[in-house]
Amino acid sequence: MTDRYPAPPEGFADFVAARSGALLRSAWLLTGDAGRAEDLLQTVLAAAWRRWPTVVAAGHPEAYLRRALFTTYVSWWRRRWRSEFPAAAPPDHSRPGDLARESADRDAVRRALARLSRQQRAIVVLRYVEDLSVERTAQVLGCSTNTVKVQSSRALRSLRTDPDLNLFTNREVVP
Amino acid sequence: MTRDDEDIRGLLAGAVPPLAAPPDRVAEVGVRVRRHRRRMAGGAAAVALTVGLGIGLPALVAGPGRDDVIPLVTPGPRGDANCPTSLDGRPDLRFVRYGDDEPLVPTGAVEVTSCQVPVAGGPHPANRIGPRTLTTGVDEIVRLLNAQPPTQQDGRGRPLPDGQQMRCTLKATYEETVLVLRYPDRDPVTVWTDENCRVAVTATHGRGIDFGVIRTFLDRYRAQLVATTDPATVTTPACAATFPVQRMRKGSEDGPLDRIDFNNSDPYLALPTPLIEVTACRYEVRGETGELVGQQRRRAGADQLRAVLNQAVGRSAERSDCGDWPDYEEPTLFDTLTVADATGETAEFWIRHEPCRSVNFLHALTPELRDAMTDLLGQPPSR
Repeated sequence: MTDRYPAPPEGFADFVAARSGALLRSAWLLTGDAGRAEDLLQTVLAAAWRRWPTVVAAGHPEAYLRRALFTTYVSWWRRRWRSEFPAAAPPDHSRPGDLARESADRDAVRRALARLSRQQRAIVVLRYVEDLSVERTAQVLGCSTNTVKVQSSRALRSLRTDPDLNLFTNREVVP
Repeated sequence: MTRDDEDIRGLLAGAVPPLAAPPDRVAEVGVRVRRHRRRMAGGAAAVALTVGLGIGLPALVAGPGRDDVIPLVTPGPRGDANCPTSLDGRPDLRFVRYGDDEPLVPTGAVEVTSCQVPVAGGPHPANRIGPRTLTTGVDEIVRLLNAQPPTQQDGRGRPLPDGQQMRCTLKATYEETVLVLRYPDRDPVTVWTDENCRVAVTATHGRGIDFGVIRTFLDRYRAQLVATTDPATVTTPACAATFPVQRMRKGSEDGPLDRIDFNNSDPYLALPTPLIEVTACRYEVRGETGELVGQQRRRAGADQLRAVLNQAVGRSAERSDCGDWPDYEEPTLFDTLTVADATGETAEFWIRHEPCRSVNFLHALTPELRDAMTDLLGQPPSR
């Protein structure tokens, strides 16, 4: 045991070193905020630490962690951040002339994702970043495959018609 | 996977910015695990104590077992969160240690207090802000403080070249932000920030600072206020019977009071939090005084005004010029609109109708806001 915290269970540190980067990226896509993404990831990792032998015995620690990340986001976020209200038009954080295009493009995607519901955002990330099938996505989120299909379709329609992302796409094709 | 799906996938993959990882994520997670175990132990102790009290209270009170009572909870924060009243006690910015691998502040803080320390004469009395204490999301503030760049950065966030002396701008500031972190098991740690030098220092260590940590603090603080404020207690002050016209002059030191802005992290969004109540007052000017001729207080649908006001004073709002000395025209008809949001704070908006339309001196009166005021107070009489 170290001075500040108990010794991690066997294999946990290796897992964190190998996979936390990918999980953190998913967490950012869910939360749209680096601080909250790290908070979400650490919450999930701390929960996994406490039952690590069981997680490992089940055979797929990453699948467990991924599922925990998404279910924690959908449920815990609702409880913890219930005081924040989704706005029809999220605030534009970019300032004229002081952000690189890359950063503005990221901001456009972040804002477009913020316009989706929590469930839609989770579905989009699971399907298109984590490459999960409709069935696995439904399993992770604990909903029906029909819900995944319907919400996925709505989310994609929203992203395709999003004014910020249209701008983004147009800029991409300008030589 | 269709072409569209591939596009979405590429868009998302490219959207994630470089994300800074804590120096030792396992350690950070370990600290959480330890804290969880302590909470569980505290909870178990509380349950045991409650059961014990229920079963054997008389014996407990009278008997010899009293010394065996387990403490109910883990100890609260140690030491006082005293805000400095001046920069006199601040360490010399040049002589603390920059650029090492040690965290700026220890992890495990349970409370952060943000203090505005006056510089020179300090801000106008109406703009002085008391200490703000955050007790939720403290881990995130600690993490952000420890993720600050190791050394001073230039205005574009680039590190200064090696060997470069500390460089500071000379912008006039009325106050600096100081964060006081409290811990259950150690004395408080004070972090002093300097806006001109763009650094944050403790007694021994220093970092560059991008001030995003202060914005995050404010975001979390607003969320905490919303969570702890009963909307039923949120209200706006009643209309004053008279209003001195001189306050409406551009540059007046006694302009519209915006306490919502004190906790706002986004300079381009005046009202970030849902509104609970609005009060509109209409004044006609007689001599040097505006006299109250109409008033309306509304709670239902109050938040509908938020988007209208954010647009009216936002980044893309059209400017208005109602003149200044010596070309200033006194208003003859104006409204004040006071809004209270879910944090419990209020903000005033002053709307001139005649002879020149404006909002808060600077912005043109938008048709949407004019309609909203007409809805509240009726059509302004034309002269």
